[in-house]
Amino acid sequence: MEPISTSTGASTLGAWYLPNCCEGDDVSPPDTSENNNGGGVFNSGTASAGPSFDVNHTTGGKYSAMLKIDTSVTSWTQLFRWLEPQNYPDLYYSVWLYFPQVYTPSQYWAIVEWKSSHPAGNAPFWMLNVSNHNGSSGPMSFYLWNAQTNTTYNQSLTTIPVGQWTNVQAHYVCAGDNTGHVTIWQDGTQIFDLTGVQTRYSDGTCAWDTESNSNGLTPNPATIYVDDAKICSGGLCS
Amino acid sequence: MNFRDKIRITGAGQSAKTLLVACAMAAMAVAGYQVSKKHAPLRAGIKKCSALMAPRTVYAQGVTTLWSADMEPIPVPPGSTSASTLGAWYLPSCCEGDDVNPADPNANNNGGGVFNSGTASASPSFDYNHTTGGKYSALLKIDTSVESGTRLFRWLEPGMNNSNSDLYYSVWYYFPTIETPTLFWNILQWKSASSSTHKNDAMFSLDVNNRGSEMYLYLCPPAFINGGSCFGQIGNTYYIPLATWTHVEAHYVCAGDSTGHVTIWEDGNQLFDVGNVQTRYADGGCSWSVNNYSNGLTPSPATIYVDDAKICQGGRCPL
Repeated sequence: MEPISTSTGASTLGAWYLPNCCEGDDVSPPDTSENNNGGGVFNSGTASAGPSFDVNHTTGGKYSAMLKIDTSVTSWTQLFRWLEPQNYPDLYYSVWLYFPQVYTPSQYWAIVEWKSSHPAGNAPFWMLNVSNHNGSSGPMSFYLWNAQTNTTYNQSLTTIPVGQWTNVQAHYVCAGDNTGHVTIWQDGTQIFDLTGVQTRYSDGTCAWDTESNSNGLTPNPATIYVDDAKICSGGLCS
Repeated sequence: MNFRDKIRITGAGQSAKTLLVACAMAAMAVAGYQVSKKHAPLRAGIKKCSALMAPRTVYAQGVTTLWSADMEPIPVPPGSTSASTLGAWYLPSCCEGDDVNPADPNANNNGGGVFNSGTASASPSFDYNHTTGGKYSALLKIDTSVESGTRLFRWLEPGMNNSNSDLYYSVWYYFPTIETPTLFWNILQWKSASSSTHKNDAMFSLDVNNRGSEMYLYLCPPAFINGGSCFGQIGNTYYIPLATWTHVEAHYVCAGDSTGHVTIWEDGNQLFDVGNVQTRYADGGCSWSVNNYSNGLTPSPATIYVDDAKICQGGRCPL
């Protein structure tokens, strides 16, 4: 999330739009054919994504992306990439996340998702969500949700540290039949590994985003930070 | 006494009754005339009557809003399905995102843009909002452990008429906390870039200081005016209200000779009125920005919010 050079200047969140840059902070729906963008920033409800120097993960850098939502209405802010997921079905994803405090979702809080678009619509497939252990004030942890089958996969191997960076990595094989694959690591610990699953519509595309998306969080508004996102092929991102 | 003389008198502070009569007479006179350029003084008189008698919204009928940014998502480019909260600053083209210096007036057909230096950020925020029915303002945040600035620029309208623009500017600020500048804290400025020397400098800037823990505005000219000494407010100091929106308006006549003019109002109170001054380089352009720019603030980082910026022609911007 450091300023990257564009043709005329630099943009802190500009990498999400490459190869073209930028419409700024956009409102849904994302249009994958628009302006030759490879992704973008999309908000709904009461939400914002912006560069921030509150906390930073990049060595020698200054900035991260601050994702802030007000869940008095269902709200999300999403940093999307569709260029690489559309062109390469077998990819590795890495992103650093910073949770400044414990938040309690009333129903759901999505942080990472893969979506698929086909002629009948655009819907999430797999989502990495946050819930609390041991009641509403307990530590936060990730769970995986299959949005198509409404199946939840829990884990108790890791919790989400508060006030420090945590690394989420994923291996996602995008497949329109049951040959897909979803593996998630948190700080090097494999916390989910689902094989033989469908990961996009059979006639659909594949897109990935890191986001803050919820219909109810306490306290509210809720802020998280995102930094050093990568998409890699051939193995886990270094 | 003819109608024109009557109107002149009303401008000198006559009673409300006289004012009403004069304005009614002038209105009747206009109704009986085929209004044309030769009756411009009469029309100006009518406008003055309107200014004195009518609510601001009525007066604003003679004003053209050339550009505005309410920090709500706008379609960019126009007609697009996508939208940008800070995109209006870049129109007619949009957007490079949050850019780093130097500002390039020729880039991508932009009419302005967002520019950061040091450790600074500008982003949409729903922490506070001024726009009726809206959600967002622009959050301008700087860390002054190094000299830092974030600037929302427009150069399209100030550069009108070969940079001899005569325009009115309006912007709402929200100061959530009291800040103490060690040297300067610039929140609004006009700049000029000289084509011969390639110097790109602030001309007049609106800065913040504080006295007894209350913040107030002062106006600073370029070094070649008043020896660079800043201007204090006219009359009693108007202090910046804390944690509520405050409205800053300006009339800026951009001139490369001493025919320029700078007037500043805050919440309707005229704070500065500097006439017959040079307000740009003789061979330079004219641009305007809303800033959070300082080399030292306590506490730091420092955040302010900005909303509902406008540039207007023909009079102060409508509320």
